Amino acid sequence: MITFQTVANPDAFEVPIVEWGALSPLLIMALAPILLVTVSSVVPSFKKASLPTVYTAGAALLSAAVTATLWSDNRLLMDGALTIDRFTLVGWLIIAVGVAAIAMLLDNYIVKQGYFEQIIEWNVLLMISAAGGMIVVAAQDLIVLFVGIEVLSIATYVLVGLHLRKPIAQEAAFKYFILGAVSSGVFAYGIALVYGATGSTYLSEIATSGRNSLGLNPVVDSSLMLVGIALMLGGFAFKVGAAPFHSWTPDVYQGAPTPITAYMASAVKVAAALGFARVMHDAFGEFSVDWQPLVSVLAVLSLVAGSFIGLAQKNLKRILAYSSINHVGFILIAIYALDEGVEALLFYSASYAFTVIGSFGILMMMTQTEPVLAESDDEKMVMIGANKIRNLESADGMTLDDLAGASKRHPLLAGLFAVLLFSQAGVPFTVGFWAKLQAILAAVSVEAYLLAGFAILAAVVAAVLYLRIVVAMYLKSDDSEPARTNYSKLSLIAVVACVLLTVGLGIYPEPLSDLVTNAGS
Amino acid sequence: MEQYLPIFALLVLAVLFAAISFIASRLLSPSLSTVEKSAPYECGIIPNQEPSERFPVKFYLVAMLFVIFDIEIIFLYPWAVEYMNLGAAGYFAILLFSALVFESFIYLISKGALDWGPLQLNRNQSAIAGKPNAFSTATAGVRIVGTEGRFEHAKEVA
Amino acid sequence: MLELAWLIPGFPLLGALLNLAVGRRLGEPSSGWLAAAASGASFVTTVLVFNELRSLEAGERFHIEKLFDWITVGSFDVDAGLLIDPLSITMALFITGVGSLIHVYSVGYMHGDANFSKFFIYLNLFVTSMLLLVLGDNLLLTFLGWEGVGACSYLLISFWFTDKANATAGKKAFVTNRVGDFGYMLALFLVFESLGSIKYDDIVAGASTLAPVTATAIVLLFLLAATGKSAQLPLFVWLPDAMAGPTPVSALIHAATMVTSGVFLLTRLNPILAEAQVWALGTIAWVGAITALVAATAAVAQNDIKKVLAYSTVSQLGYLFLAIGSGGYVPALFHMITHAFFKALLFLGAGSVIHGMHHEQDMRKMGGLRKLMPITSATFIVGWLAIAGVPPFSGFWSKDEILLYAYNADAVGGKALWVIGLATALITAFYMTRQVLMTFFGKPRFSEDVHPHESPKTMTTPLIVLAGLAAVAGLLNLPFKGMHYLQEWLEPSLFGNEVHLDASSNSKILLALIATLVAVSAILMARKVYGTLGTGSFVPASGSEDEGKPMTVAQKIEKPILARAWGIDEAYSRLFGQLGEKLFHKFASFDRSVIDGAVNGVSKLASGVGTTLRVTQTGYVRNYLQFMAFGVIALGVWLLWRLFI
Repeated sequence: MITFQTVANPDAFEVPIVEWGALSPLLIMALAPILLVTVSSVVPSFKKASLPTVYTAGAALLSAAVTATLWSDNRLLMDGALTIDRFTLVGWLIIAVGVAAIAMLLDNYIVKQGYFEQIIEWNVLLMISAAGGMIVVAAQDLIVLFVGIEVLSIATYVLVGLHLRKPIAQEAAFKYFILGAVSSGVFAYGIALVYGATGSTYLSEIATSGRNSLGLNPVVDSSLMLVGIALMLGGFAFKVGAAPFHSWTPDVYQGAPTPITAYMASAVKVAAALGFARVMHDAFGEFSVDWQPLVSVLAVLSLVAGSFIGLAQKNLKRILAYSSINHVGFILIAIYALDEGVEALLFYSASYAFTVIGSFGILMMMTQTEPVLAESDDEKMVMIGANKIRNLESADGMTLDDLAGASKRHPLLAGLFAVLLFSQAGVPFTVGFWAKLQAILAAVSVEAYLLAGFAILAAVVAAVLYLRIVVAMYLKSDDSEPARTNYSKLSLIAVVACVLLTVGLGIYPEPLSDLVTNAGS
Repeated sequence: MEQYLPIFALLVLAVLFAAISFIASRLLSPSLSTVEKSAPYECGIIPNQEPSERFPVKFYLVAMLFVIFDIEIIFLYPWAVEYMNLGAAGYFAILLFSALVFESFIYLISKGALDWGPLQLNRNQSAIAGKPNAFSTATAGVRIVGTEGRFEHAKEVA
Repeated sequence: MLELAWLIPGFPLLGALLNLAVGRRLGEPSSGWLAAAASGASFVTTVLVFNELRSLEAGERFHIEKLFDWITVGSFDVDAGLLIDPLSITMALFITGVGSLIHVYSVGYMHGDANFSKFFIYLNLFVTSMLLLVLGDNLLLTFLGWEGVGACSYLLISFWFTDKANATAGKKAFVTNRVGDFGYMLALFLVFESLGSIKYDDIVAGASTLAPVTATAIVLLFLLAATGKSAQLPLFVWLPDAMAGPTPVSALIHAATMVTSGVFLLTRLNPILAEAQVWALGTIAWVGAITALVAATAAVAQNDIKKVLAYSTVSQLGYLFLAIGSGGYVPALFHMITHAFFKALLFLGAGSVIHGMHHEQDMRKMGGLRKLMPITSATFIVGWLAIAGVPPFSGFWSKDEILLYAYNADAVGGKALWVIGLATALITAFYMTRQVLMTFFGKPRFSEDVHPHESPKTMTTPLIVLAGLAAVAGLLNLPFKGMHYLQEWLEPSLFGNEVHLDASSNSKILLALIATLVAVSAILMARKVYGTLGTGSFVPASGSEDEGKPMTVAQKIEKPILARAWGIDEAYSRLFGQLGEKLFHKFASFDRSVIDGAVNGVSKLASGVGTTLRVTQTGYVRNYLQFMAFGVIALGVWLLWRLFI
């Protein structure tokens, strides 16, 4: 471990010890993009082919591997700004593995859209954003948390709008940016009020200056504290996309390039949810009687909004967006259950992350591909030009009707998709079943029977959401010519890995349960 | 509150400075206005049309890039003041920070963000030549419209 | 060695996977030998484990080899582990032993089949599932094996699926078994509900805390499951049809292994049976006795060589249930083992005949095969003597033991059961003699362009081995002092729940004499009827020229009602086909109008709500910001309000 020696000046500022080893997963995720952007700037040929993708996936997996080596660590880092514990490590693992899968999907997306220009930027921003997410998960201090959230969000705003040829992506990015900026403002205001009430931004110190030990003026201080909690709750609710702060989700998910949608729905959402849980749990645990009802209301609203409004949608990405709102409802239930729900939260987050990545990945792979350019034949080029415009416009606008007969056209993809959808619906022998079961059991164990009942009902309604897609694929026929789709091996590997995890952990959930046990301490 | 006093003083001073400047110039300067004087400066030639009010977006880009380096200075300045106390740790930290900012400069140059005029046009042309696609460019990210059907152009480009 | 027990199901699984990967490339016969080797390795492992187990003290012969945590959700905690005890190892021994022989036999039998390697994949998978079934340390793992053998059985029965009848037979087996599985699952839930665990060791420990009513319910539900898998009344109808599969399948699945799993299950759960009310055991015994009798009478009138054996299997399985209901777990297992030997032998012998006769299965077109197929007929005759209960062949000892238990099971109606058992024994000896006479003796009745031939060595070798075992397996548990080897061996698995008879040796000898007498007289009767068999002595097909003639003795015996197995099968199809169909239509219309109406109503409501709420999704950032603002204000107001209450 390298530490700086301070000079013998009495005023010299005390250098915090930097635990390079324990920080290395985060450092890898943060420095790999810097290296990538430098190298590709100096060596233009690095942009060729799938090299950046392999680099990104490799870096992310390295980060995941290093995370795994830290498994039994449990300590504070960087003068208490970050913490390494099972909770953090599971979060890091989800984010890092998710980034690797998304990079593999992104590669395919770029090929399909014929859009090589931004390949470096896409990968770089993805990793920077993920590094922000890792900070959010580990943050033990509100300022650090805020910095993490901003790094996570700002990079994501750009990612959403990076497909410069798609107006809908630009619109989505702009909406996301404005709303995200407002929510960050709200969140920062919340931090300021909490600091005002307690005089600290450390989660542990906020917790110790709890309800009964606030400063000189209890009424003023606790009102500051409560409004601060409310504002932070609002900020977090926006970031995880809980109703009624969800309204950006469908628009942005639809507009964003599909792999980025997968990223937002998985890693970003998981990072925000874990940060949410940590703050609520570690800092405001003593105020749980005050905020728990609010979280349960948010959970119920999310369950209702996600499943019901989702039923009225036609566009597949919007359907999946509402489904993700529904999932947030379950995650909030786990957060509601405090200590009892920590394992359920991690289990749900992990299983949800790879299920949703696989789902969006397949959606992208199924989307009609562009015809290969024929270089010599002038006449073909004209036709291709017309086709291309049509494709670009419809590329992210697949509707339920477009899926008709998909089981014939892409039997493999349709089958994999069906498995993932069943998992999202919580059908037994998929991991989604265990995830939902654990969340509901967590609610039951804190005697929130009403909440558990709501969750079960919402799961039933949401099941219709997924079955509609399966029905469209398998029971509706379509006589049109089989459309060409070419998808790369890399993306297929990513998706198949997701499906294998879904089914494997569905039959034998023990490894994942093992992973998340004892994370509550 | 004591610690915020200098900031407050600075605020007051800034407002005063601006106000005094305005008032002083109004009071002190002779008012001899002519048509030529109020016209915008254009190399001494009398303009025969209204100046364009829209600037190329390039200027804004450069302005934004300037802001990045401006921020670097803002961070460097307090470090320079506290240099002795921060010691080696501070030195390496600021070095890392500078490297990261400089790194973005490398990226900008490679993207051609500082290329101007014909140079950039060349760039785009050569990028098109590198990729046999009449309908999109390799670097600019903007689809060339209106070329559909114009085989001559497409061939030329290819 | 016990810790290597996972290799027992592991080898066949590996064999299946290898064959899956390279089976097609290996081709015939290598892929078959690979499968046989996998099964054989499993057998060797079982023998080693068996030796190790024997070296332990009797009290320690209940060993759980935990493999991994399987499912942990709340209080529901299931490990995947293997339970090594005398019961499971005995089952595993004859599953892998007989299984290996059948693998070898199949290499010859399936010669030239287009899907040669596929057959062996299924066969290996079946053995794996069956071993999981018997070795699993909890009800869920056993259920996994239970479903696994069901699935494999479905695949194997309809192996030649291009023929519609075969595919239908597979479906019938599958569907009928699902009825039983329903019982299994309910029983499993009930066990978990009442004991809080589904592990066998917890069941053993906690069974005494069960209320008699609960125990009875569990036993009856498991009995339903067992009647499905073990082909008892009322669910036996699938087994005769299952003869559509290749003959080695019939030998392996429908004689030696899968059909015994119901009996195994009831034996494994003997602590619960011990807690159940007496009439639950009586139900088991009576189901067994009646099945034995009905199936035996049906077997008398079959002309398909395999159908006879199929009904015979159902009948013999009835004996096993009769034994368990009478508290005789050891006789049940004893007869299960001897039955596995001689019934596998008979099936394989029948297969050899079918093979030699170019896939002719009608015994009316056989006869006089003794000279043409010497090995097959000699071994078949050994099997015949064993099943007929002629001393000193194995069947005599085991059947005698069951009858002895039935005779003494007064609590559930002993003497009546004994009479039915004896009658069944009589009929069994009769129809088996009939089969042997029709197939191997008398004049040849096949057409002249059929040239029966002896089967290849791969098929005859297993026949010889099984014939040897069928002859001497009685040694396992002779009713003489100090020779109750099986009984002593199984003691640790039964926890003293089996009934110990203190019948005097005189009555034992008397009962044995009666049984022998019955068997011999039945053989003589059959010889009288079928000894001089012409071509005209069968029940004539309706409309044929023989229709008006007076009935011969054989015809009187082979009444159509017997040939159709008392019409049970037809009654089912009439019930579900005609009356049931109407009922189902009623249900369907109820379903459409009321239930679907409700469901559709809910979904309409849901999408209506969705469409209404969707209006909030305007797409304008300003509206979204309003939502957020209202949301934050609502949160803040609620929390501040909390402050003042």
